Amino acid sequence: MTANTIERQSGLCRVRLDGDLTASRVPELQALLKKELEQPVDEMVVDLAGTAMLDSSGIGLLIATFNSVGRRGGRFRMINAAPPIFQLLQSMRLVNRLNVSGTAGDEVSHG
Amino acid sequence: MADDLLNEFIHESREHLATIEADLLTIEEAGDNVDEDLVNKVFRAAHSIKGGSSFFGLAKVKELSHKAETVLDMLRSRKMTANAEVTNVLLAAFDKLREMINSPGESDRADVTELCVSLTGLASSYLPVEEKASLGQSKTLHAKGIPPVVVSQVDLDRASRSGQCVYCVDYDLIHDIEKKGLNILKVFRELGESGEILECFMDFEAAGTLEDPIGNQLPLRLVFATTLAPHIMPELLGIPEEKIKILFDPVAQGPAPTAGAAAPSAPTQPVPAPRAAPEPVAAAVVAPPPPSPAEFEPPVSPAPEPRERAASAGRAASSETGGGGSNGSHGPAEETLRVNVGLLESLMNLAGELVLSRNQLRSAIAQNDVQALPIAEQRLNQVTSDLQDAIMRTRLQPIGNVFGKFPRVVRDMANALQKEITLDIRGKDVALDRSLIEGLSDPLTHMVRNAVDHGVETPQDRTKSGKRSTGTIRIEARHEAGQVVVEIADDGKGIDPSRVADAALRKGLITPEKIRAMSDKDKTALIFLPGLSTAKQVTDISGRGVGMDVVKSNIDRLGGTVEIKSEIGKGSVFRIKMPLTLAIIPSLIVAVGEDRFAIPQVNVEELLCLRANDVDKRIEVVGEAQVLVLRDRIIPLVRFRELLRLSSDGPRCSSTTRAGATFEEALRIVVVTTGSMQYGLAVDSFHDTEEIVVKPLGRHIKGLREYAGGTILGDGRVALILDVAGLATKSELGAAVDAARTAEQEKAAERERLEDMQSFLLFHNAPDEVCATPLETVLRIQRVTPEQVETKANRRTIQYRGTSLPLVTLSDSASVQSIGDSRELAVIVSSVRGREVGLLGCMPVDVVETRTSIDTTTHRQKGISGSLILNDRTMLIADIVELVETAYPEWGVPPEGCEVRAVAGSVSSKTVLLAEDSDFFRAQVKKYLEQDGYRVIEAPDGEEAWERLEDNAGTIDAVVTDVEMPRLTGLGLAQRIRGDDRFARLPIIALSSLAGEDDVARGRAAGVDDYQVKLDRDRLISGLQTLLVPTT
Repeated sequence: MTANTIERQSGLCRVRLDGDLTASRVPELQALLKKELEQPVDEMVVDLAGTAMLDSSGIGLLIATFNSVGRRGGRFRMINAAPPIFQLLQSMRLVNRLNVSGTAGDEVSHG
Repeated sequence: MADDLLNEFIHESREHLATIEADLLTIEEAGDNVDEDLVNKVFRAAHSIKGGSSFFGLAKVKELSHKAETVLDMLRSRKMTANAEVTNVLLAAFDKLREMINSPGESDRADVTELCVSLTGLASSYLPVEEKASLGQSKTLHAKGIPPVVVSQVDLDRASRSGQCVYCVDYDLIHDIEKKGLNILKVFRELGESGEILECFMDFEAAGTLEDPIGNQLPLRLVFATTLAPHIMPELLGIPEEKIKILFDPVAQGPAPTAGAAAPSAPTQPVPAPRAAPEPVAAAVVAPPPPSPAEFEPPVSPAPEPRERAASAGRAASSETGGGGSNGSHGPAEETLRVNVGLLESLMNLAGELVLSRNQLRSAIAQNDVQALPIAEQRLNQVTSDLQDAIMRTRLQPIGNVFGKFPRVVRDMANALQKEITLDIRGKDVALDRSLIEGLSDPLTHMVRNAVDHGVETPQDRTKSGKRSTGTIRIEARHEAGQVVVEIADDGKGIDPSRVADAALRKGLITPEKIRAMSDKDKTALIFLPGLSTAKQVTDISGRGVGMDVVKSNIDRLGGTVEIKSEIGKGSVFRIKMPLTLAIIPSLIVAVGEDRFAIPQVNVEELLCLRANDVDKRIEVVGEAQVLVLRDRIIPLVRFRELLRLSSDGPRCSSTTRAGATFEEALRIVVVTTGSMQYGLAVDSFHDTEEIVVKPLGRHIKGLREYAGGTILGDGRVALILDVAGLATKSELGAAVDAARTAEQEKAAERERLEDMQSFLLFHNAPDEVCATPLETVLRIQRVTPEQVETKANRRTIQYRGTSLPLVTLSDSASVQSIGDSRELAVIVSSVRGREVGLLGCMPVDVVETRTSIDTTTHRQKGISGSLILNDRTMLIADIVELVETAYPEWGVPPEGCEVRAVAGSVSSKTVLLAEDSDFFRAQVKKYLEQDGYRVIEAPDGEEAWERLEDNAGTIDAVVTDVEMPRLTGLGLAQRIRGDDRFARLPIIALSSLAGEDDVARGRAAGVDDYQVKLDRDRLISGLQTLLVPTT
């Protein structure tokens, strides 16, 4: 089992995924994120610094999280996307929609 | 002044831009190993364009070149690597720059927003492509079965210009990618390499929330622009055909319509309003009604036919240089031409020479100096042709101008199709008239695209068939016999003639009968048939035929020809032959009635003058078409006079309805070729060949396909220039060609049937001199050593079973070498006049069976009855009877006790009718008969034999006939004889090279008395005697 780091600071929830975001890890991560959303969240930040690989289910999980956060009135953001992942999301026109940044991202915040 | 400066800027910019494409491709290829010099070169080009455009106030050019410069600067400083994406954007930017520079006046109206955004995006490594659709104008595209899709006008224009189709592709990321074990990163990277993702709509609703199970489905709708044809798409994307819809096809739509142009259709074609709450996919994907009323009509058909795809591909290539149909022929820059200063100098010199010549001529005329006139004329002639040559050279441009775009075409397509291809371009400097260069651009691009798409196989397939994984496409231009030859060759899978034929058959373009009559080359050439590639069912072969009919007609129009050589598994070569220029062409002048016509020399194969009495033999009617027998071929014949519907009065025309028996003059025929087809054109007379200056046809006769133009001849008369391909179409020669082909095959079969299979014994006279003798005359062969040959009383013999066998050699009578001192001698024993005699030659001996025709004149002399050609060697045919007559003249009196003697006296008055179609056999048999005292009446076929028989009724005593003969066979003749009371009792001997039991039985049934093998002299003579004795 890998260790995902979760930081909470008032309404901000920062989840740092440790390892790839692929189908085999989706159930575990889904449970984790769902649990985090049981508490109020103004902004959820998914940190992909430790993620080298992303697959369709992974994208599904990110969108589902975006949808869940949105329904709770919160904002969603992704940071530290590795270049290949960033490019993929860019090709899919998801960079703006999911607020993706290739950097640590505090300065690149999209409204 | 400003105009001059602007022109100078345009020229300079065009020169900069000319090489940029190739440079960018090289930069891309180098990847991380940046060639700084090259990047600098491209950077400087962008920089100088930026500088100039700023000076001339070309704001859009400046903006775009500035952005390109920024990206190039990052490449230069290695802040960025030139991957496919970067190169694509840069290429597109320079394409746009080229287009704007070609029409500087309109450049400010050009939309460069999209490209600038892309370039800025590249520069900041952040491309806010999601915003693209909201930038500038957008368009709504429709396809059957899916809601309307909005894309940006800029994207659509670019796709249209590049000949790209825009597809709507519905993916389910879970089922179509993940469950198939594909890597989504790789899938998208490959998509980017094969085309451009214009839009991408992810269905967020379908993904659900964290409350829902994840990984059931994830629908994604892609709007994808690519030059790839629809039939390739399902395979490329790995999803079923029904999930791929065509939103836009540049061919079906024509050039990208402008908003204004499309607007009027909006009221009559209202866009279906998106449903308020459609299924989840639609909710995210369906576009709101666009603010602009402009709409596209739905594509004409959901899947355009392959041929159209190729047409679009061709258009794409031509548009790369910014032009419409003719490779950048628009724009002010095309109105001027850069000419080498040296060439200008020589033009100036020639102009001076011309003035001098004129002065010389004027003075000669003024002084009426008869001697000076020819000199002046000669000089004028010389100066004129030099001048013509020099001026033509100013119009010549290197064909490299067209070839230059192929590296990119091949790169883009090879990437998309995942093929490895090396492009080998040769002969870039070969120069052609600029009008031809422009006209060649589209057909060549078609062919190069076809070579990549259908010629070269995938690396896997190549490896499987034992080839290098990297294919090669060679594009080569060279001069050949005053013409320019352009070849496009690939080492791919080649074209399978039978598959082309099958495809043509399936589509009903040709009948099975015609296909049976076709050679492989003819079948391969079927890919030029219009419509071959329009079938729904796309196969490799129909793909290969993509648009080839268009290629062919384009090249025909340019006065060129195209032919294919292809070998299955090895590759194909398309060879185009073009004249150097279309302005002045050497032509043959012919006349029909009062009118003159010019036939370009390149189309003329040969001239024929048929004598009146040959016309019947050489011209036949097959079906409704007239055909000309040209040596061993049969080609359609067009009577130009009939085609022109000229009045048919006068002696010349009285016979034009059928092979002119009343024709008093010879029939003059020009054999012309279109490259793929030959036909004869009958005209009234031939005139000289002339270099004619081509003038375009007037408006009122421009539509006539049979004429390529007009010209003014030396004597001031006007002549029309014939377009031989157009003329063939006009005369509906298609049917005639088929008829001629069938007739040709029948003729060939008939010839084969009539040519008797003949066996020869081959031996050597001198060691390097092979000779032959008919096998039928040989009794046996004996191998001897030189010591066994005895020479006594100047006669050579060998001992054989206690008696002396007389020997003769070819050199006894004929002028051939003597047999030399070979150690291995052969004695070929025959029987002549009842005695055995040996022909002395050298080993080795061999027996051959052949249908080769025998030449009875060229080498004919005493002892040699003729010659034949076998395996490319000429062989003399020994005539043993003549050799014996020369060596043993006293044998002329038949030996005592020989049967011949008993009747010798009585046969001297007998007459034999000899029917035989082969000159050689007829001469041989005639000789045998005459030597035995018979009078011989000859006939070359059964029908003529019958006529002779009737002419000489009562004087003919016997008939000797060949079996296989034209018009009437020997057995037919025998039946006719037996059926006629006058001749019913005539003895008939049939001679054949086949005399099996069945043959003999058939002969007997037909009324033949004796059935013999040819050239058995003694048997023939004794047979005749036997048959004639009872009647005497």
